[in-house]
Amino acid sequence: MSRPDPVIPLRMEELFAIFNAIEGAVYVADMESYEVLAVAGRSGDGDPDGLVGRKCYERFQDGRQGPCPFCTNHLLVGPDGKPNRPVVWEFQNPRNQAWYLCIDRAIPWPPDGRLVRMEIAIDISERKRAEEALIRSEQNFRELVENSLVGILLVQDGEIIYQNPEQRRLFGVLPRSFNLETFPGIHPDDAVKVRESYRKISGGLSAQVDLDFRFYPGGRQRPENMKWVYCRARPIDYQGRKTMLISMMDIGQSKELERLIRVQDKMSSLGRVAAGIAHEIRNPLSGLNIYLDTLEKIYGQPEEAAKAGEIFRQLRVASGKIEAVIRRVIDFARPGQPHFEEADLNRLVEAALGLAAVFLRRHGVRVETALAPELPLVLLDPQLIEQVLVNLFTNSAEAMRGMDGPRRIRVGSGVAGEWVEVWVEDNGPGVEAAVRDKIFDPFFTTKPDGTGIGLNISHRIINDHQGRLLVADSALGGARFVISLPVAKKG
Amino acid sequence: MATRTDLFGALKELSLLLVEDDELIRDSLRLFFESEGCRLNVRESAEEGLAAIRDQAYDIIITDFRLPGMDGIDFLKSVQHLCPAAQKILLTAYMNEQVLAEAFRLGVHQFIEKPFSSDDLEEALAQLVERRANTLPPA
Repeated sequence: MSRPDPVIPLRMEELFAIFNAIEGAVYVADMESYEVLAVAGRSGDGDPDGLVGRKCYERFQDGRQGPCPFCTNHLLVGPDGKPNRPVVWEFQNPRNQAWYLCIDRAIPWPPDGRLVRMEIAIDISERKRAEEALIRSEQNFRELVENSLVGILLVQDGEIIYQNPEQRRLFGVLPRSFNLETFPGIHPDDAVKVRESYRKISGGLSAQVDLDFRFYPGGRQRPENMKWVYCRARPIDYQGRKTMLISMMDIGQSKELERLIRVQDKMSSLGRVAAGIAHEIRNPLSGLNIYLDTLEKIYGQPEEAAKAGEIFRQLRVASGKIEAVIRRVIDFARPGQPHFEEADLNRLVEAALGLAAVFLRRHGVRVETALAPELPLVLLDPQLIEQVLVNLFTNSAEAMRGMDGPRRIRVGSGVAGEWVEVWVEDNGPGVEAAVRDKIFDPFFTTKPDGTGIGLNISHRIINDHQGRLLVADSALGGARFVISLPVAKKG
Repeated sequence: MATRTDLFGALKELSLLLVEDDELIRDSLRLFFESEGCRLNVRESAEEGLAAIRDQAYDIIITDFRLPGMDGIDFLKSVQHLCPAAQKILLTAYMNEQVLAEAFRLGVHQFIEKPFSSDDLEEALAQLVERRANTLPPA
């Protein structure tokens, strides 16, 4: 139990010396009659309004006929008739809207020793306004964040401290303890990318990371649940602590559109090489027909048995050729989600050259290859990389259309540090320096009938493989496109 | 219209050249003509075909349109100079009007679209042989 402070009787002048030193206004009033006995304080100037002698409630509450409903007088004196501890409260004066910090207590009035009410009122309007502004601005921010179309997540020391509604919609309600690195719902093909980015940002290697990845809300990896997000993470200072701000957007729709455009591009590549494919099927088919006709003629003639045996062997060769062409087309055209596997780039170069062979021959192009005898494996989607290669081959051939003299395409491969490179170069007109940074933009084309999609898609495909697609001058005199893909990490 | 026997009987007296880069077609046609008692000379490219024509004149020249290096049309242009009397057949897997028009200008007498069978070739040859009999004075 705390005992009330001892009240030390003071003389009037001592009391006023204290009052006048107080930052704010001080008044003293009788507890029974509410008559103001004195006014002082640094913010006052004695008693300019002539308050002394009037009722306190008249002064502070315009036109009041009786004591204020919030008067603290009854709290100031204990049942034993001694002063209680001071009552400290905040009060907004309805007369001028000003805020005061009020300290009320009973003190003995020096002239006669009766207990009187002393109130110190300090104007805190400024502080109150700042506090209110802060609350309002926090509310505004909260509203912005709550209604944002972007999912926002705040993570402190591996714990989620905030998840906005869009984020909850995207990811579902996440466990409190959260780590993007170990979140079970990340698509396996994106796990490495996410882990790398997370490591970069949490290790302070970069101030911000941007990436897109696939994941399954709730962690169950079923295709119908898959979502694509574009995500940005950066460390911020939130409430004085290091916090990871992760914002993400649902990009499922644009990914779907992109997928359709990619399919379209693939189909147009296939269209370009279709004449060649027809040739590759119709030739063995013709051979097959003629062998069958011959076989029919010599059927049953024992002296022709050896010839018949040779024809049967040739028929199988022809049928195998047709099957190989069909398989190649189907492999190329088969739609589907990207599927990464460790592969040999040389093999893909050969497959793509096979698809484009007749197209290139028809364009009068002589193909030279300079493939490294052995290449490290690369983690890639064979279909997509083949699409890029066919694109580069047909682009080169089309760029050389109408050109006099020999038309050459040289395809090479090799290793440069941690990269496996494949280059496709020609002796065509090349890519002018002025358009070099535009040729990978969507819809940019120099061909009269081009869509401007091919190189853009190729560039994106290579980016998705964490690789680079660059254009330069070729020693042959034309353009040189270089694909660099990272060597697959062992284990 | 001549019968089959007549046709191959007539072809035995003529020299035939095939220029075709596809091995299956070359081998199958050579075997086919052989089994009819005729000889079909085959070459893989237009360049080799021209060399053969320089060595010897041919009565009938069958060529693929799409060839490595020089294509079938350019080949036929050269044939016009080297061997103007030859009857010409063009094989193609992918007809387009431009090629057709160009081939007509070069005096191609028959077109065969791939895939083809020996019947298609026999029919084309029969017409050529008939045409030859009508236009050439009897030997």
